[in-house]
Amino acid sequence: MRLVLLLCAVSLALRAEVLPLLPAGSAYADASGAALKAPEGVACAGKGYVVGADTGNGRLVTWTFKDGALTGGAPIRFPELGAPARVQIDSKGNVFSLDQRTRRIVRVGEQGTFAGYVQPKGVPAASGFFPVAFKLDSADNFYLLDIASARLVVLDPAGAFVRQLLQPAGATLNDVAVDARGTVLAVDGAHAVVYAAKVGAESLTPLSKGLREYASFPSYLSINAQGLIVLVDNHGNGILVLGPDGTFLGRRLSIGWGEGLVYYPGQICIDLQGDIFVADRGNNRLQAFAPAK
Amino acid sequence: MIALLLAALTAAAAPPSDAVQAQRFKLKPGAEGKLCLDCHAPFQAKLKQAFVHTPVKSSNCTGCHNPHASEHGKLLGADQDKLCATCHQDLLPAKAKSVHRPFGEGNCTGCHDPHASDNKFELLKPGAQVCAGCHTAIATATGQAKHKHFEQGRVACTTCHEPHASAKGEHLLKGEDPALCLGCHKTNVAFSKAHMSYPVEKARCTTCHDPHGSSKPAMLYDTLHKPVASRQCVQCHALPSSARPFETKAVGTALCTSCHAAEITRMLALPQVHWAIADEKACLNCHSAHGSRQRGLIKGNMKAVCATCHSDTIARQERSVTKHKPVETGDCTACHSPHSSETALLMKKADTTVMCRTCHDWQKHATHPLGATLKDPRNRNLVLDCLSCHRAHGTEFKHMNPYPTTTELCTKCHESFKR
Repeated sequence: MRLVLLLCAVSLALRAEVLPLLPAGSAYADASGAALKAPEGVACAGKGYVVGADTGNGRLVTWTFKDGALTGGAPIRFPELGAPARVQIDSKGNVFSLDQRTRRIVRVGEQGTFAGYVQPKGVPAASGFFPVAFKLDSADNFYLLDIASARLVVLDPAGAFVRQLLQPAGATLNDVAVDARGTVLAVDGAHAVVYAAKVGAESLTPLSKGLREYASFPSYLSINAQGLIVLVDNHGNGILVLGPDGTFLGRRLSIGWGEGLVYYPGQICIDLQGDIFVADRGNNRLQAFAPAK
Repeated sequence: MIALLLAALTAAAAPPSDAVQAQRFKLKPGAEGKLCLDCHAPFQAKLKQAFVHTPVKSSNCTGCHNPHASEHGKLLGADQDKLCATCHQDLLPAKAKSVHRPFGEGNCTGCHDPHASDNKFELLKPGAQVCAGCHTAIATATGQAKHKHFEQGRVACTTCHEPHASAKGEHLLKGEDPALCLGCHKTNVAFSKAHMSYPVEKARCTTCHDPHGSSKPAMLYDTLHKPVASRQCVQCHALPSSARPFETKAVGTALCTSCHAAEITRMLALPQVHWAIADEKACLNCHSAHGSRQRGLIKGNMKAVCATCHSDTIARQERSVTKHKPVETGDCTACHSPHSSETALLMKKADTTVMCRTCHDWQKHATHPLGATLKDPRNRNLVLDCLSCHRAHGTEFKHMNPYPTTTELCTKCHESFKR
């Protein structure tokens, strides 16, 4: 009996330790003081480089995250990216963003200029093409969630079709991610289920059980350096931490308007140090959270 | 061997006979029922009604009641939800696809008089009137329909629905659509002609016809898709003579674009698109292609339709102490644009206060200052609006507050008053 109690206590203690976060700064405006408006996307890379999609203002903004503070705030704006939503940075530091109006992935040049679109080539004809989310893997391949044809499309860095995975029957996928081993993950927000397809698998199968008990509408997912799956609960105003096997490990952050709280969060990005950047859409700001030691 | 076993089980499940009951309570010979009526004299009139429950008819009052004492109301021998099932266990099919709620809850007396009635099956009211007691919306619509399915003496609720449970269909239906319908409606030349030669006997009748009646001829739904109303099935479907006559000419928005090009182009051009309109099913996620009881050809009550994906939001409202009327009544489009919007969360108006003011005159509702010129003390990028203090889909706390007490809410901004 004592052993069982001890194991329970240890188990609870271990769970409480998973991904504890502390507020580590916020960005409310660009360098000129122009306030952010409904930012939906954020991406991060080495050396503290952070790019936010300031969706409501139709631009990207870049910051540097250093010593627990977001500094800078250089805006990037060009007509081909009038409604940036999701943002990604490839292994070479190139920035890509999905435009919500044109539904095209825009490549951002080094000088913050338009450097062309990612042109999908050889994608099998289906019932249309309407990408709503995308991610890059370590080899800079694109993973696009195309809801018009209920599939995940994989493109090589040049945009050539590699393969596709069909959306599981009955699922409504909202986002896609790829882990270090090449396992493709996808989240179904309406049913709060995470799906996975290992390398070579031809279909996505449920990885997690239904997470409705813990989440309202998980709409974005990311994977940290330890392989933990981090889900953004958009309607539930928080994030969920799952083990690599889809086991629920904990819930972090909560609803609010003050620092450290989130309101309808959008995309997140996790850097190699475990810092989490949140496009805090409902709060018109970008927030950084550092792992608590 | 199996037969013997089944017989033994049946005997074990059967209610005690009159003789067994008499023995159990050591009743005087011939005392069953008669003894009870010595005191319960007004019950004599009940026994004269047209339909009498079998145990009552056989004076087996102790079949249901304990004459001495009971832990259950009305001196019943068991809880009502279990008592009736001791005799009527066969009413629940082994693999029921649907179960009538009162039956499932054991509330048999919601429809039946346990002793006697002038209505068949000891129903409390004649036939459909019992059903109308709960299913008021259907009863009202059926009553108002110009073209009725219900026909006194010929078609009643139980013509299509099982009253207790069904092993064959959803909604207690006695069979699947169209097989159930074809039980009465024979296919012949006239039938084929009425359906433009499409083999609809292989399709679902209820996509076009309202089985409870409507004000449109042939009981077509009150709201009809224009090609259906004009009998132009070929606008969307292949020719009736083709190998796959029900196949649509295109899928997703591509099909609907052939007529609704302008609307769809406008919808998809906005930055915030409801994903439902862009996926494979597209418009058909929310709209019926043929007909509906709802305006705008919405598949059903908007609350139920939206809950197909947004069950979390509807569930939040269900849990909410204070109800927000549009969510409660299924008027989601009072605040949200169902197709697309310039604003996040598909809000109809970018300014929350303006949005809320379409229903709430906040000047009368509260004296707290709101508006675009007032910064939220908690966040310099926010202005004070209704959502600074309330959550539109409700919370577990009064007035849709995000915090348990008003004090906790107010002191988030008015920190000097925090104690």
